[in-house]
Amino acid sequence: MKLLAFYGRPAINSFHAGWNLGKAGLSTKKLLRIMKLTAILLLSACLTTSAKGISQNVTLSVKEVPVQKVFEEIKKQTGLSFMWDEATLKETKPVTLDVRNMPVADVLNRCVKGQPISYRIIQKLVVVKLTNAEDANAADNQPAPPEPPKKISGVILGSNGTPLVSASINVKNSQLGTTTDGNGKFSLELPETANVLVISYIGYETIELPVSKSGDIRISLKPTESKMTDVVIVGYGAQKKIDLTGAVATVNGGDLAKRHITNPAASLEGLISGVRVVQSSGQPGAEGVGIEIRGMGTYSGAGSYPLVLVNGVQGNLADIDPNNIESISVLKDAASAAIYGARAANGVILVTTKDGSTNGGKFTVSYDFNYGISRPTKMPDLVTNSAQYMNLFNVAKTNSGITAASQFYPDSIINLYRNPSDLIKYPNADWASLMFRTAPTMMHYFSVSGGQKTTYNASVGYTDQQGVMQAFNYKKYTAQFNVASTVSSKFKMGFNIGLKNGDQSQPLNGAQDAFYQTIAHAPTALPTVADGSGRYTYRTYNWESVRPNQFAANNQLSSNIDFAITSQLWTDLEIIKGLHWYTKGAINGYFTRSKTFSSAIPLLNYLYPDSASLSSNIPGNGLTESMTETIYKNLFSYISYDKSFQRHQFGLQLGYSQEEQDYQYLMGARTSYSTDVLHEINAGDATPQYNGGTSNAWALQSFFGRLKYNFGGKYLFEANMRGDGSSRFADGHKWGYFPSFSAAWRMTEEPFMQRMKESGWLSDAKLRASWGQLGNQNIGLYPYQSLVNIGANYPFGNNLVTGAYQSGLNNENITWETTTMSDIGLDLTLLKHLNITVDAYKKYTADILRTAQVTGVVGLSAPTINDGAMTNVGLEFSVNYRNNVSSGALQGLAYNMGFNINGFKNETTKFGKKQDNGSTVIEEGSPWNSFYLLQWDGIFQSQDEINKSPKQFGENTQPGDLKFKDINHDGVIDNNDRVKMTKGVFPAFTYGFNLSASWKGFDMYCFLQGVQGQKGIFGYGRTPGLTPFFSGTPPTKDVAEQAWTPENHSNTMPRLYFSDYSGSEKVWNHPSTFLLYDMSYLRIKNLQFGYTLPDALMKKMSMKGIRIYVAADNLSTFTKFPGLDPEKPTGAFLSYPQNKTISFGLSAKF
Amino acid sequence: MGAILLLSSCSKMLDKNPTDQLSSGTFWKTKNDFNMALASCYNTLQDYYLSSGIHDFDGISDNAVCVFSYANEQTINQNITVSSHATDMWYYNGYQRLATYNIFLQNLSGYKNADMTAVEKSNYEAQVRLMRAMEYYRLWTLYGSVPLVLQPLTVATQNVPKAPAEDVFKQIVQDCDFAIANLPVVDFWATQGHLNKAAAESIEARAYLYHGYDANGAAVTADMNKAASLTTDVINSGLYSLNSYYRGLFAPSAQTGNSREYLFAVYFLGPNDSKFGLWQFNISTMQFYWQSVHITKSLLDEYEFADGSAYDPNDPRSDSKHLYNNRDPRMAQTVCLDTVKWEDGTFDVLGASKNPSVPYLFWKSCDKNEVVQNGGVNSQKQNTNITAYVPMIRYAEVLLNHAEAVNEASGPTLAVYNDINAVRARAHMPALPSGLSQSQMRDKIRHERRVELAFEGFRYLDLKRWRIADKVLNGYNDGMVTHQFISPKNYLWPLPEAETQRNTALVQNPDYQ
Repeated sequence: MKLLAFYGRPAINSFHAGWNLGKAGLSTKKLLRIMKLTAILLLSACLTTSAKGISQNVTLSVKEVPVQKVFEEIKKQTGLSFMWDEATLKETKPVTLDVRNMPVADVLNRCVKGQPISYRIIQKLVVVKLTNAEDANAADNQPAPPEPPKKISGVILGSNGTPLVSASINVKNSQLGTTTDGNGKFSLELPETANVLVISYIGYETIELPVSKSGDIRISLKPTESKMTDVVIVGYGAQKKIDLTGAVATVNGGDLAKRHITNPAASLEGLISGVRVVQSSGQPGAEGVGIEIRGMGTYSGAGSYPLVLVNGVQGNLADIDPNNIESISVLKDAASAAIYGARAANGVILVTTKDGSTNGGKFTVSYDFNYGISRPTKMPDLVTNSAQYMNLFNVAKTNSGITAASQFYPDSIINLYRNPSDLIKYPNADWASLMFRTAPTMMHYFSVSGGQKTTYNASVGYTDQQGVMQAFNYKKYTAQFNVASTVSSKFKMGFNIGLKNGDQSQPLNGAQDAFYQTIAHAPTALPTVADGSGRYTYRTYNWESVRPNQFAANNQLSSNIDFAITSQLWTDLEIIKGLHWYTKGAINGYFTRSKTFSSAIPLLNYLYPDSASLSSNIPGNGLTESMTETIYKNLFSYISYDKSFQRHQFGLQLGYSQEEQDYQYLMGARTSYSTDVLHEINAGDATPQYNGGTSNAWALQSFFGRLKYNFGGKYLFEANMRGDGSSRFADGHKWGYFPSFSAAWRMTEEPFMQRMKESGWLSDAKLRASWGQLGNQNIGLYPYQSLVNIGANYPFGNNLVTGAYQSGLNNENITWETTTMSDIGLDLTLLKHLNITVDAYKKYTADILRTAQVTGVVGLSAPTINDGAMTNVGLEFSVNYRNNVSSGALQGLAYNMGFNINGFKNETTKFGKKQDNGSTVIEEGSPWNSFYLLQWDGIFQSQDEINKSPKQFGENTQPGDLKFKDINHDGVIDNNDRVKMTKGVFPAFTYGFNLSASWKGFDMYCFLQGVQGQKGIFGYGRTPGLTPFFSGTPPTKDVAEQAWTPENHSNTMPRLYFSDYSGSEKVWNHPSTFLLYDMSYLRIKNLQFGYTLPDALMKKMSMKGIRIYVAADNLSTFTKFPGLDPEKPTGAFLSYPQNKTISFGLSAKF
Repeated sequence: MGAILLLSSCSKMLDKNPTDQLSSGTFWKTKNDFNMALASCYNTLQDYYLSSGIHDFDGISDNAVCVFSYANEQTINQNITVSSHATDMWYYNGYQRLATYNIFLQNLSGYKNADMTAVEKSNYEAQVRLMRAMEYYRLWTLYGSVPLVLQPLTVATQNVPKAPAEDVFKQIVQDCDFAIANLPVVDFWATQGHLNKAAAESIEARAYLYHGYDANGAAVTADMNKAASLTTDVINSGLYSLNSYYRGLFAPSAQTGNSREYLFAVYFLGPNDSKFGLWQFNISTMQFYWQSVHITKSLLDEYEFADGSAYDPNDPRSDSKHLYNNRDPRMAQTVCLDTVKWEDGTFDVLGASKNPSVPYLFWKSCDKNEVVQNGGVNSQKQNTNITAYVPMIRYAEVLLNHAEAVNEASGPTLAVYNDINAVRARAHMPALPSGLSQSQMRDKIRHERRVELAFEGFRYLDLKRWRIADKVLNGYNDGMVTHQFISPKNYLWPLPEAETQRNTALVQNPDYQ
C-alpha cells in the first residue's frame, strides 16, 4: 500500500472517513460526489493491492433476499468490500440466485440485472451506485460485461474526452495486449483466464479494469496530476493536497532525476517557488549546494539551511541517488513546519524514497543508464600571448613605480616571443585550457520492486564522475532497501535501509587554490619543461611571479571517503478503527576518512631545468589521515485518531520524539617519509608525528501534536504544537514551544460557486491562511557554558606543561531563536488544466542567536546572545498548464508548461550598532549586509582633472586611476564617501520555467532558471582572475584591451598596476562600485529529447518499456557578469566552474 | 511503550557537556590549575610576530623587505591609513594576550587555597604582570595612547576609553617594579625558562629608554638615569655574559642550550610543541614560497670592514661577489647569498632569490637541522617543529641599553666604552677608538645596535624613539617600494577603524581621523 509505506496515516483516515458517509443520510447527489471522490482517492491509493478477490468464484443460493444480503455473502466469500448508500439500495428489488463456483463478476451482474443500480469493482472494493446518477462519468458507466467469449473493444479517452492514441491495453499478468489506434480505439481477444486489463498512457493514471465478459468499453483516463488525488507528504504523515492548509510544495522524484546530476539537492534548483538553491561549484562530489527557503531567515551562525528529513528522519540529500526519490515536499510556512518546531525555522524538506508499490506492486526490474560528457560552462579569457603578456607586465610594473631593470622583460626577450623560432621554447601557453578537460560521467541505476502484502524496493546506484578540472574525481555508490509489510489488517510494519559510499579525490590544495595556481603563471612557459623530459616547470625568468605549478600539485592528492548508513524500522498498529499508533526508530551512521599524502616535487626552470639556482619545489608534508564518526539516533512515536460524523471530520495526533548525536574525531600525521610509494602512517618516520582527537554530542527531546478539523471538505482548520528541549541551552532555557494555526476555505465547495465550477472555468479554488512560530538552535553545541580550553602548552625546561585558558565570553541565558511566519495563499484550478498557486508571507525572526558586538579590548571571543531581528516579506507565484491536443495533426500531443517566480524583501529589523564591514554595512532598516561603496565616477583622464578634484585617500592619484564621487562634499575622498546601496543585495526575483511534451512516443523537456537583480562585489582586496598580475596571473583580454593608457583614454578600466605592488591598492583596496557586478542571469538548465520504443516492439522483447534520450545540462547562460558563474553572488571570482553536460541514456523496465 | 521507557530512562539526555574542555566553574581550584594557566600565558609569547618570526618586524624598517609573509608590510611602508587595516593585528592580538593575563591575575587574586604560599602567589603574579608590561610596552610604542585594561572585561564594561600615553607608561613601570620586587635573582636556566628579575629590569629599562627622548629626539636625563640604574643592576648581578659565537644565539642547530647571554628566551620544544610550526628557521622558506625576508642594501652597507672602518664599495677589500667577505663577521652570520656554510662544516647551495636587485637573504637564525628534516635548502616543506630558543632579552642588548642611557645622561664614560667594546669583542671586531664625543659615541652606539640586533625587532622602534624615523624612512627606497613616514603622523599607528566604530569611547589617533 503506497500510502502506508509512507508513515502516512492521515490520508488513509480520510478514506475511512469517507467510508462511513453512506450511513449519514446525505442526499444521493452529494453522497455520490463524495463517493466518487473517495473512489478516486482509493484508486490512487490502492492500485497496488492484489486483485485476487475479483478472480474468486462464488457459490450462493438465495431466494428473494435483499441485495444487501447478497453483497454481504459475497463479501464473506471473496473478501471484497462493498460501498453503497442505504438510499440507493432502498430502491432495489430482492434477488434470487443459485450459482455454483461462478465468477464474482457474473454473480454481481446477475444481482444488478434489472435493478436501478450498477457497480464497479475497483481493486477489492465494489462500489454500488444508482445507474442514473447524473454526474457519473463514462468510466463509471461501463455496462456489465456480456457473456464469453471475451472480446473486448472500446475507446480510450483523455481527460477532456479526446481519444488517446497509442494508449496501452494489457492483460494483467500476461504479455497479451494492444495499443489504441489513431482514434483511440482498440480491440482485444482475451483468454478466459484473463480478468483484468491494465490501461495506461503517459501523463495519465494507469487503471486496472476487471472484465469478465466480451464487450465494448469506453474508458476516460485521469491525468496523473489531478489535484483531487494528489497526496502530499507532510510532517509525521500525509495529507490530500486539497486538504492542505499550509504552504507545501512538492516535486516528483522523476523531475529531479531528469537533470541527471549526482546531487539531488542541486536538481531542486528552480523547481519550487520560494526555494532558492545556489550551487557554488561544479566540483564532483563537492557541489556546495546551499538551499534557502523564503529568504535569509536569520543572520546568526544558526544559518538559513532548512531541515532535511529522509523518510521522516534527519538526513542528507546528497546521500541519496536521485532515482531513488519518490517525492520531495517542502514545508515552507509555519503551519506546515511547526510540527518540527525547533529546527524548522528555515523550512523543512521531506524526502520520501521509493517503495515497492511504485510500479503498481508488479514485479518490476528497471535499469537506468546515463553517460555524459562535461565541459566547463565558462573559462576565464586570459591573455595567453607571451609578447602581449610581457608588454602588459612591463607597463603594470612601470605604473606601480618599480624601476629596477631586473624586474622587467627586456625587449630582446620580448622579441624572441614576437616571432618565435621555436614554439616549444618560446610558447604562448594557455595554462587554464591545459588544465581543463572534457570529462565523462557515467551513472547506472538498477532496481527491483514489487510485492503484494509485503512490498519491496531494492536498488543500487553507481556514479563515476570525472571533473572537468584534472585530478578532481568522484565516485558514489548508493543502495536503498525499502520493505513494507501488511502483517494483518490491523498491523503494518516495514524498514528502510540506505547506504552510501562517496569517494572523492582532489588535489590537496582544494579547488579554489588549484584554479588560482593554474593561472598564476606567465604564458612564457608550458607546465612541463622545454626539454621534453616531462619534469615540471617553475618559471622561465627570475622576475616572473608565479605560484607553484598546479600540474605538479595535482600529484599531491587528498581523498575523502564517506560512508552513510541510514536504517529505520517502523510499525503501524490500528488499535481501534481510526486510531493508529505509529512508531519509527532510526539509527544513522556517518563515517568519513580523509587522507592526504604529499611528497616534495621539484619545479625546474623552463629553459634551464638543470640549474639548481633557478629552481624551486613544492613541499611535501607526508601523510595526514583523519577519521570522523557520527552516530545519530532518533525515535519517534505518535498516535493519531481520526473520526468523522456527518460532515465533520476531526483528526488528532500526539507524539514524542527524541534524538541524539555523537561525533568523534581522530587524526594522525607523520611528515617524514623516505618513500612516496607507501601511504600509511606506519610507513613514515616516527619523529615527528602528530595526533589529535575530540568528540561532541547534542540531544533533543520533543513532544508534538496536531489537531485537524474539516467541515465538508469546505472549511479546514489545523493547529500544530511542538515542544522541544535542547541540550544546547542551560537548565531553565532548554525548552521552547512552537505553535501554529492555519485555515483554508475551499470556495468552490460553496453552493454559490457551483455554477462557476460547473461551467468549467474555475474547477477549484482554495484560500489558505496560516500563522505560526518556529525555532532555530543551530549554534555551537555548548554555547552557554564558560569554557576553559586545554592546550596552548609551554615547555619549561624540557617539560611541556599543558596549558589551560579561557578564550571566550559566555552567556548562560541564551535560548531559542524564534521565527514567526504568516502566510496567505490561494490555490486555483482554472479551465480544468491551469493550476495557479500564489503565496504571500511575512517571516520575522527575533531573538536571533548572534554573536554579541564586542570591542577588541575585551580580547575574548564574543558570547552568543539572543538579540536582533530580521524580516523577510515575500511573494511566490507558480502556474502550471497541462493539456492534450485532441485533434488535428498533433493529435495525442500531451504537454505541460510550468512557471514559477518569487521575490522577497529582506530587512535587518534589529541589530544594534551599525557594523561596517568595509565594503558592506549592517544597519537596521536595510537588507542584511547592504553594499557600502564609493561611487565610481569614471577615470581621471588628465593631471588637470586630478588637480581640480578632491584628493583621494591622500594617494598619489595618476591619470588613468579610478575617480570616486565626493558624496559628503568635504573636499576629500575617503571611506566617509561610501554610500549604502540596498538594491541587489538580494535578488529582485528568481524564476524557473519548464516545458514538457510527449507525442507518439517522443518526449521533450526544457527547463530554464534565472535570477534577476542580484549583485555581487568581487575583487575587494584583490583577487586572482580579476586583479591583473595577482601572483603573476595574466590579465583577462577584456582588461588588457580596455585598460587606460596615455593613448587609450578608457573610461571603463583603470590603468594597469601590478597586483601587490604600489598603485594596485588604488583600484582594489577601495570599496567602490567599480567592484560591483550585476549577477542577473537566465540559464537553460536542462533540455532533453527522448523516445519511448513502441509497446508492440517491447512485447516482442518481453519488456515493459524502453526510453532513450539525449539531454543537455547547463546548456547556455545569458548574463552580463564577466566571471565564471553568476549563480554564486559571493566568494571568489574564480572557482571550480559549473559543468555543461551533454548526456545520453536509457531507461529500461522489465 | 518504547517511548515511555526511554522517556523515563533519558531524563538526563539533555545534559551534554564538552568532552575536551573544562568548565570555568570547576577550574582555578588548585595550584596545578594555575600552573596550567601560567603555561598558556607563556604560550602567548610563542607568537610568530613576537618571537619566532620577529625578523619580519624589521621589514617595516630600513633593514629588510618582507615580500610575502607579512602581507601588510608594504602598506605600512608606503601609506598607513585608517582603512588600510595593515596595523590592526597588533592591537587585536595584544588585547587578546592581555585578556589571558588579566583573567589569570583576577583568579589568582581571589585564590585562597593553602597549596600556594604567599611567595609563590606573588611570584606567579609578578611573572604575568611582567608579560602584561611587555604587551603594554608594545601597544604604547606602536599606538601611543590606548585603553588601559587591567581587569577582565565583559559585554557591559567593554567600552573603554584611551588612557593617556603617560598612564600606559606608568602602568608598565608599575608592573615591572612589582616583578622586580617579587622575581628571583637567578639566571634563565635556573628557573627553567621562567621570567626572572633581570628580565623585569630590562623591560623597564626599555620603557625608560623609549620614554627618554622627547618629540625632538632630545634625551631626558631623568629617564636615562633610571634606565642606566636598571641595566647596571643586571650587569652587577654577575649572572650574565656574552656568548662566544654570535649565530649560536639564534640558529637552533648552533644553540648550546646553556647560553649565559639569555635573560629571557621563548622556548620551542620540538617536535610536539607546535605553535605555527617553526618553519621560520628554515632558510628555504625565506627564499621561495613565503619569500619572507630579504636584506636591504642599506643594512648591507652598515656592516664595517673587519678592521672597524666604514664600508666603502670602492675599497679594494670590498668583494663585490660576496659582500660579507672582509667585513664585520656578524654580517656573514646574519645574511647569505648563494651558498651557506653550516656550523658542522657542510655547505648548501641555495636557489634563487625573489629580489634580484638585493639578492641577500636572511640567515641569522636559519637552522641546519630543520633544513635537513624538511628535505634540503630548496625544499618548501615546513611542517617540522624543532627545538629552539628565540631570545627576547639578551645580555648584549642590556649592555647596549646601558651604554646608550649612560652616554645620553653622562657622556661617553669608560662604562660606555666597556659595554660597546664587549659586544664588539665577541664579534671579533676591534674596540672603538678612544676620545669620541658624546655625539660620535651616539652614532657608534646606534650603529652597533643596528648591526648587533638586526632582525630582532628593534630597528623600527629605535628609529621612532630616536625621532629619526621620518628622516631615515621617509622617501627611503628599499629596492621594492618607496617608504613614507611623515612626522608626527606616522610616529603613531591608527587605531583599528572597526574598533573606533564599535568602542564608542575610543577616539582615533591624531592625523588619522
